[in-house]
Amino acid sequence: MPRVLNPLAPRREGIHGRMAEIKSWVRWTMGLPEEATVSVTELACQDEGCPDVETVIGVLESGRPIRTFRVHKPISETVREDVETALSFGISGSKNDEKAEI
Amino acid sequence: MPNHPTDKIPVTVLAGYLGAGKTTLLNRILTEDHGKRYAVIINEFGEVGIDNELVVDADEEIFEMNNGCICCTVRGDLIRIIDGLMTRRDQFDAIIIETTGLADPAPVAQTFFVDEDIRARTQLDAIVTVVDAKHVLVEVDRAHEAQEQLAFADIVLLNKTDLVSENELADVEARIRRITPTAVTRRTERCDVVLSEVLGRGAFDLDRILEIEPKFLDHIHHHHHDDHVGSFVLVSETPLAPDYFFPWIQEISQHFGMDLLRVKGIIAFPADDDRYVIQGVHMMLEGDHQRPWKSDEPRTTRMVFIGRDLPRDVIEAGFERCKAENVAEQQCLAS
Repeated sequence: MPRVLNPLAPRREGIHGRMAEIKSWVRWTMGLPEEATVSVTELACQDEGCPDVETVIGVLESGRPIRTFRVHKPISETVREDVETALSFGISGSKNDEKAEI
Repeated sequence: MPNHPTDKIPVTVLAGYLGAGKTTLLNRILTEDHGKRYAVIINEFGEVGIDNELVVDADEEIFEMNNGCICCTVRGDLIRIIDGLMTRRDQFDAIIIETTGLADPAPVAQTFFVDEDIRARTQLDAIVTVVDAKHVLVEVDRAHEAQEQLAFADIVLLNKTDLVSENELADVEARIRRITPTAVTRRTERCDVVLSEVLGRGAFDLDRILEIEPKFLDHIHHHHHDDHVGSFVLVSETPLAPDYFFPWIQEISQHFGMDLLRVKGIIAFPADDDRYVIQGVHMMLEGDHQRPWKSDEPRTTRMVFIGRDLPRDVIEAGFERCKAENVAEQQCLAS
């Protein structure tokens, strides 16, 4: 049955393994307490000059500003070194990061 | 956000102004004998107590994950709270989020579109907006928030209907329909709606709604309006050319995304036997193949746009250019 290619398809379930790895790398590198939440999201921008796909990592802790880190790759291609580099740069320019201290 | 039945935890968002009846509805949900246990996330403890053991206080923490031209704002507190609730997964069957009267529903809805873990473990069942039939028109005239809470609604509970006349009710319903033509409206007096008409409907999921009600989008027509938030529907009996449609809708969502509150549609493509269902909140778009068109079913494309002062003429001109017959003509002219 013919089907058109779908650029708006829901993200594949397969990325969840890598997402869990990214979270564990963030937790280990930052020494986060168990109650901290790490959020991992992939965003895509179609405009020229913008990163095509970006992995956005948020560290959410009660009573603290959200800290945001970015890797200019899809979740599936992000490796431990990318995460460590992003964390070492710390502040990434978004409003959420203004009070971030890494 | 097409999805199929899973063991994901259903989440119901209750929106509406203070005094509309949200807490009354919430207490009914929590106390009636329906065999389900709910975790409740609330923004503020009201004067009326919540009769439930699993209540978590949220603090409307906005998490901006903007990327290039994509503006994406989600609720960090919800991500954190739902993550925490998952450690007590055996204690509840569903989640209810009660928002404040002035809360912006967009970051709440986007949280369920964007955050990977939330998507994997939960499913936004419906955004239910409770309005006070006697005061809603004044609120809609006075505050953009009231219009936007209606714009995001999948189900509108028109409450306190005993306080207004039948004529007034008809006016209120007509106004609500102009703002949010895809929402289902239920009249109630003291939020005495049958709960199965509000919970577990999968009302946010256009794919699911279309399985139950295949003609869900068919009755929607454009209404002239003066509201800050309005809606229109674009229809085509000609299939759309995917090479034109996808870049166009992505451009629309980026260019007008800040004002595009919701978009829903069924698309027919010429070389595709399936109905294609698309849904979006602001700049977040998602679409998927649904089911094959039936042999006796007209392959009609319908798209509903709900937003703030959207330029219908600009959007409609682009939509027209996506029609396959027009694409062929454009290609002939170019060659």
